[in-house]
Amino acid sequence: MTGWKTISSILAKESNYRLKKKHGRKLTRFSTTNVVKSNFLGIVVMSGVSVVIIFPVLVDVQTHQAIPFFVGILGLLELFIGAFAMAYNLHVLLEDRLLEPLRFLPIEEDVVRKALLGIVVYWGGLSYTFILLTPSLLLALKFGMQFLAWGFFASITILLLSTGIGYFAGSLYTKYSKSIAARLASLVMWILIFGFGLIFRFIPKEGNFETTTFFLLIPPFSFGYAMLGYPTAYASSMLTFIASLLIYKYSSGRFWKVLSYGLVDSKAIYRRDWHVGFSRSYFIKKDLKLFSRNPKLLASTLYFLIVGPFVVLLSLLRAENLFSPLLPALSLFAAGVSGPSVAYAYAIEGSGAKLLYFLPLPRKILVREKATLILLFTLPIAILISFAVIVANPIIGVVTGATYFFTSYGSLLINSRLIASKLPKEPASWTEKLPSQSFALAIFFGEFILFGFLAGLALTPYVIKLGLRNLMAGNLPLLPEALAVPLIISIGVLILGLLITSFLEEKVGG
Amino acid sequence: MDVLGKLMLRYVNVTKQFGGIVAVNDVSIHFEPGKIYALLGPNGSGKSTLMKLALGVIKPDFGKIFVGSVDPSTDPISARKIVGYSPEDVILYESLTPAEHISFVGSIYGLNKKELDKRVKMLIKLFKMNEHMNKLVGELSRGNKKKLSLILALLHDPKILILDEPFSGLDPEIGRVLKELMKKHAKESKVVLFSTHILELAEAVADEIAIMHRGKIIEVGSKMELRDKLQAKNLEDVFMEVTGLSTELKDLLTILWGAE
Repeated sequence: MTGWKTISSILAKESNYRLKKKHGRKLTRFSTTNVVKSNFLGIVVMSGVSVVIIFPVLVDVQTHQAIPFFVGILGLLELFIGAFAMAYNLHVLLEDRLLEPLRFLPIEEDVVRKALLGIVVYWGGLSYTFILLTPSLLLALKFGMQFLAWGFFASITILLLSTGIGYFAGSLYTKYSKSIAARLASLVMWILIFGFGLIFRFIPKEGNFETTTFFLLIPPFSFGYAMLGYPTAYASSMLTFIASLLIYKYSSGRFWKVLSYGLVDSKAIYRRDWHVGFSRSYFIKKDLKLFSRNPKLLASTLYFLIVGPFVVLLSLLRAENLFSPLLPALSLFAAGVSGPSVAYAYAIEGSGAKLLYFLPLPRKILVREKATLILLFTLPIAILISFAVIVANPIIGVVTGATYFFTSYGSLLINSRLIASKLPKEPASWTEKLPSQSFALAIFFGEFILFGFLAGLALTPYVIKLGLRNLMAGNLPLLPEALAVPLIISIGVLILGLLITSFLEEKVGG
Repeated sequence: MDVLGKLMLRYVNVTKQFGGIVAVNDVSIHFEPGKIYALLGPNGSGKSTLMKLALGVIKPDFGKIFVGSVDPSTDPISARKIVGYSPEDVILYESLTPAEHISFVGSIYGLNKKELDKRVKMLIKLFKMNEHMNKLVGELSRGNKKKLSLILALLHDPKILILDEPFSGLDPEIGRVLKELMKKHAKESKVVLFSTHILELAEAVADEIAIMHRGKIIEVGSKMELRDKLQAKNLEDVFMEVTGLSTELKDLLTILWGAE
């Protein structure tokens, strides 16, 4: 009988092979089927980050009582990263149909369930457990072995929970369903998963964190209290483990069942009359239809485009300068850094991308259509920002909206061009793993610096006139040149985007 | 190159390797308009690679390909406008409907609704896809997906029609319709090339048969020409003879039945 280890290693090898084939080179964690190798870099990074977070407790024994707070934060971090990573894993599993050959084999559901957890471990899931394991080990060296035991227990519980949540959302994928209700349910689920990171905003600060019955019972804080020997926390932690195990069991089983029976909505009734349209703009219409039928990617796109820019804008502004003349420069930055979200417009193609290789679709058109598609999502944001600011100050409102719009389109075009240069040369599915993680990270940080610099440049009239110190103060005077500079820069970004997409050669596969 | 103003598909000393394996080996052949060509060969003989080269999806390592006067390795977009291609494994968007696929592919070819309405309706009727037009492709059977893939290849009334294993998964009725469609295309002085590993199909449909084995075209001619040349009773004998598979087959049958 085929064991779960064999299945998960075959799945990992298959995924590795397909990605290598697509990229024609070795790739990060997917490029190996060795568990240690595929998790090594992640373990180092996760351990490093978690040790930095827990550092205050390690150096100061007096802060011993704050351990539950730090364990809670680290637990939430593991849950967030784990669930977020599952979104990507699921896309690869579903788009590359990795589980398809298993459907017709006599494999027990229990074996599949274990294999589904195994594949997550192969894809770097093991490294996420080190967010809690490494600090627990360090705490154990200082305070006793129970810290390591509870840390281990917590990390496994959270791995099961995040994987379970991911597979549950995957089972709501409703890929071949035209049911709007099913798609909406899935969209809400994914928005909740992606929005989970916002929970950190609601955690009380370390100083205000008190030993209350509430936090004793709430996982993952309860694991921290269990380390300190609170009996109520023992019970809560044990219950969390059992619940996580059940959630994983149910979700992975449901996911497998949905795949086994096929992703077909057998109850659907279809109209017999049909319509075929031949408009030139059908490319974008097709992509919008694909988005509306892929709630997970729609949720990712909305999250990246809306939450990202708004968090940047709101974190930089205070109530007294909410409608300040700094807004155009800030919107230039927010719109610029949201450009990499154009990757979703490519990922939405999935396995259908192979069709594009056989059609007379010039690369230039592809690059522009993809940027325009995401611009359609951005447009309401630009309008919303403009209207909100116009109420307070019409000139600032118009300039802010226009700056956001021009920068956004320019940045989307530039990013679309960059992604197109990394597309597989021969017919292949396009998933969220395109472009590669290292390339995506390089783009993101590169643009963060570039648009940060441009936003800084847009502020120079104020810096010259008022000095750096007075910049973030409220009631800044309205300088015409301070409004003109960001607008000119944003038009420059747009022109650059249009220029680099104008000279694109057709590449033929190797 | 054109023959009396009609487009021709031509391969000149074309070689294509994948990681040291020669998929297409120094192939020189041309396919003329007005005829149906069958590319016959065992699995892995290089048929699909040869076809994809005409679309500029892959680049030859050596040699030249001409789709009319267009070289697909330097101008793939123009080549794809001329060629209608249906791959062996259907490539479709699982979450789009057939109607949406037709709209999308039609818009890529820049087709006009007025002039094409009639053609689309005819193709949908011929392939009996009427009641499936609003279903998502993921819900369709393999046969219906194949039919949609063929409709998309025929949508822009291509001057060169390249079909990779077009009959696999089709029921006999639709298979017959496809044969007639191919004949009609050839009659309209278009190039029709299809691949198969089924000898009977090649014999029944094609005017000319090109036998491909291990990346090489080893024989080309009409059924009669091939039989006469090798003094064989039927196409199967011709195929076994030229590919050298007859000895291999004897060995295999010995394994199955024993040395009786």
